[in-house]
Amino acid sequence: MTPTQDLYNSLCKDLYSLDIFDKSLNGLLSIIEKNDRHRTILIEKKFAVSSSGERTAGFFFVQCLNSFCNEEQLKEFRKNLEKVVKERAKGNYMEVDPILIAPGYSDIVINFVNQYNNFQRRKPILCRYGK
Amino acid sequence: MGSFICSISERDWEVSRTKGVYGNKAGKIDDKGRYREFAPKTKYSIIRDLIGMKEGDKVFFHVLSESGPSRIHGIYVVRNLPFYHTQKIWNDPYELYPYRFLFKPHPSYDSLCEYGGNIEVVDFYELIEQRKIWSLVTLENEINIEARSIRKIEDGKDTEEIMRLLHRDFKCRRLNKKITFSPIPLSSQATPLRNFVKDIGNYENSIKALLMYKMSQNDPTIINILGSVSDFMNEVFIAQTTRKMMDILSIQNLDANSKRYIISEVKTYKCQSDSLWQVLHYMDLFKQKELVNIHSDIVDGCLIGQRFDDEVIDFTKRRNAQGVNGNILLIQYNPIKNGSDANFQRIA
Repeated sequence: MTPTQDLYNSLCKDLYSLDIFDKSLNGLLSIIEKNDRHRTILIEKKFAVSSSGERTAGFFFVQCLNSFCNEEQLKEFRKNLEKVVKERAKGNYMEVDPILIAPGYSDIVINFVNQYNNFQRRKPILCRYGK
Repeated sequence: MGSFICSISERDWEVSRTKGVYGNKAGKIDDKGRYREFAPKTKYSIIRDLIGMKEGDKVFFHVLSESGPSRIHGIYVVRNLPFYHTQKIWNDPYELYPYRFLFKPHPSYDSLCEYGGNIEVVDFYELIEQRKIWSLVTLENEINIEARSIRKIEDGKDTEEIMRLLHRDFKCRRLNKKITFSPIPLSSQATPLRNFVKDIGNYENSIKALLMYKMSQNDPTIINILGSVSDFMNEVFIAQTTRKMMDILSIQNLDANSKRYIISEVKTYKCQSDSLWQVLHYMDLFKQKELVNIHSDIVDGCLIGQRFDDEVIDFTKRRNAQGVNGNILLIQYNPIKNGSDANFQRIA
């Protein structure tokens, strides 16, 4: 089992098992979709409403890569993110927090993500190192 | 073909609709009661709004009434390219309204014009509220937004919706007596409006005016970069509440079910990182409009300027190489012919 597969499995079992999510900060989270082949997880953020139980407050889209992340992997991640945004949020990128987990990132990817986060009024792409 | 709404006073409308000529003013009365010509920035904004017009384009008139509700009349068509002419036509002590175009009743709907077919402007605003019209959010002049008399609207569903209301209300709002239409011909003294586009490289509205003209003429220097454009508009509100406007929106029909929208931001000099942030933000906002099919339509962004920050070029090239979420076009322009024209070159 690769390190990020381990991470992927841990997250699928318990979203709070790693230090990515915090119950007090992120509220109620539940996995609504996962893809074992691409190791992607779509998580719904919810908050309690007294009148009707719970309401959605957006999504986290997580992808755990099992190899070093270069431009090609980043491109695939952005394509997957776009698909989720279209299907779940009618094209509104502010509804989806993207999280990318990989054992390492090329300088080009880190640079691109920094620029993307500066230039796009969207939820920033969070790059995490899977150990 | 394009479609326009032009604002005009009730007094001037009586003359215009008989003679088939519309004019936009060239100045205003200042605080001391003296007539002053507009500054170049405003002058070029007037030319910018008018110069995208061509023969056969549709026109509605927003008639501003002091005695009752304002109305929209139509539907007319443009007779020839816009021009500048100072022959006195309207009964105004100061203003000659020299930025002009000629029009005639639309040949397919001439009875609407012959009997003064119109709708109340509130019915038009209902269409906006119902999201049946998207290319305009108001006909009013607002604080902090330049006064505009001519607005280009979408020549598709938006135009059809106004035509639908004109037909819907025709029976109850028509005049009993036929209006005499005695069109004036184009004077040999008239100067094509294109000749008044100058100062390119010094005023944003000047380069925008040139772009509007070139798009209306399917000029290869622009079409070779943007692709064949089926419709285009300037100063289009991206969102009603924030009052943010795209400089130019161009539309291409890719096939029966798919369109490509290009949101362009124009800068007089340099396109910096904030310009790129702006166009990327507008692309994301535009994709959320009801008219956009996010699964089949393409929304691209475009920055037009004389120079670009290295970071803007670098990020644009890398983003385009990934081919996700639409492309950004960087178009560099260089003023030529003493600022009356420009060369265009795509650099990313």
